[in-house]
Amino acid sequence: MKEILRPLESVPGVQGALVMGQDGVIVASVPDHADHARTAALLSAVLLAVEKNAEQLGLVPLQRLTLATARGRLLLMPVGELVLAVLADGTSDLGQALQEVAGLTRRLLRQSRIEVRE
Amino acid sequence: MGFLSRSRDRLLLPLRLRRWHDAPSPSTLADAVQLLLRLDQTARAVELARAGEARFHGDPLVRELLRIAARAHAEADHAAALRELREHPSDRAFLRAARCAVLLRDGEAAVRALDEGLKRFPHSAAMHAAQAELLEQRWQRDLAAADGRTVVAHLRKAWRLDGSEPGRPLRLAAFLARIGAVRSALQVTDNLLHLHESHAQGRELRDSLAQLVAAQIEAGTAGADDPAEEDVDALLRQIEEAGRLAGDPGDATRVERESARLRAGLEAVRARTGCEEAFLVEPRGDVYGEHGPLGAVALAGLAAGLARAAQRTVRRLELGPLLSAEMETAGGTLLLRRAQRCLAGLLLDRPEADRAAREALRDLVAGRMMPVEPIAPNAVRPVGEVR
Repeated sequence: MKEILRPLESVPGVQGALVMGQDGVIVASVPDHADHARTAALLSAVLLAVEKNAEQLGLVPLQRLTLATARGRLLLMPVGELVLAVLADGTSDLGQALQEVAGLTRRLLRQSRIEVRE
Repeated sequence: MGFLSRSRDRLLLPLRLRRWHDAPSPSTLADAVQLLLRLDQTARAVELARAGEARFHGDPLVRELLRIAARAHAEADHAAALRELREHPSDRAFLRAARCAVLLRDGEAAVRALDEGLKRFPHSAAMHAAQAELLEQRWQRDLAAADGRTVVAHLRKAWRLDGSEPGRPLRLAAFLARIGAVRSALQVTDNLLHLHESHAQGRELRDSLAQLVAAQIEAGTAGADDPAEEDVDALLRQIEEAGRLAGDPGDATRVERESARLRAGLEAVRARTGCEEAFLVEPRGDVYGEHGPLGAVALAGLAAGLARAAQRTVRRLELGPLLSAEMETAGGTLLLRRAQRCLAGLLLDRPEADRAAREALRDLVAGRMMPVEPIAPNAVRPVGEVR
């Protein structure tokens, strides 16, 4: 799983990425030295905060959640049962990063299907 | 071609200026100002536009001319400041670049310029003080504890580096008092008066702070044996969590004013985007639609929940103030965008309108969205009243 996240490291402006469960448990993350536990816990709280009301409004399934700040951007994309999160800086164009994320999402989906079959 | 038209403009300039002098009107002013701008004489253009504003106060054309001239002047000044930074970097040049960025309403660029400047000139008291001022403005908007901490650190450093400027410790004391660190503020004013004994404002502030501390002890909210300084960091975190400055009537008024301004534009946003609902989220989590509070409906819960969780997340990760939150789903899109303390939002069910919706929200928070003109009561008669 970690290897799938590697290409994101070379995308300009991307500072880190992680795949986690909806409960905030990290499955894989890059770069290795960064502490992603806090990020995962906070993002899981965001998902929990919107889940119930979004369902009532018919705003399901979630495709992407983006938080933009003065210093960076956080992107969340559900991938099957998992969630992919990308932290990017605020100045760079995220077009390329998003393409990478989309490709990655597809690969992750394929992999999760294979794992389910096995 | 450029040379020819420039020469023609130069020849025309005295004529246009004379015309404005002899027959002052918004249109002769516009001709003269536009010509000055074409000749890159932005300072003169601003001067002339100001004179026009004084003469034709309130005229929309003249107001727009002044805005255009001032912006062109700020842009020219910014370009010159950046050139100076490249050729002769100095603390003065960084300060100038930051000031120009502020004039161009790009506060974040100003903060970045000073950050960069402080890396190269860490002993510049003026830059520390300027950075504190910018971050204090940002803190007022978002109440992020990280910004508040940096304000205190920069002001303390500015004072340490240059004790001859009493305005800085005074600002530090005022900031500390504002966040409820009254004893810390009192200590700062004591130290200030130690250096500048006869500073009138310092004395005045010290007296009012001493009275406040005495009142706190009398009311039992503070003890006489309490440490000389409060835990500033803890106070800032409390303010961040609460999302408001308790006991500051100015803060409540600011939120009210901002909320009213945004609410006035919600109808226009809905009309422009065709969204399902346009709303705003106040710092305490109250959600308003076009016709008042949304109450306990799913949309209010979703908007307030997303706003709260998103703000908490970006603050804890020290990513700076939240600018926007976008939730894209198969069933529709929820957009939130920060104004100052409130967030304006939209619920959309048409993905093709996402782009226009983002622009409309941007216009609304920037104050560029005009409220929908109310229909005169007599213009439309209710059905059945037509005789």
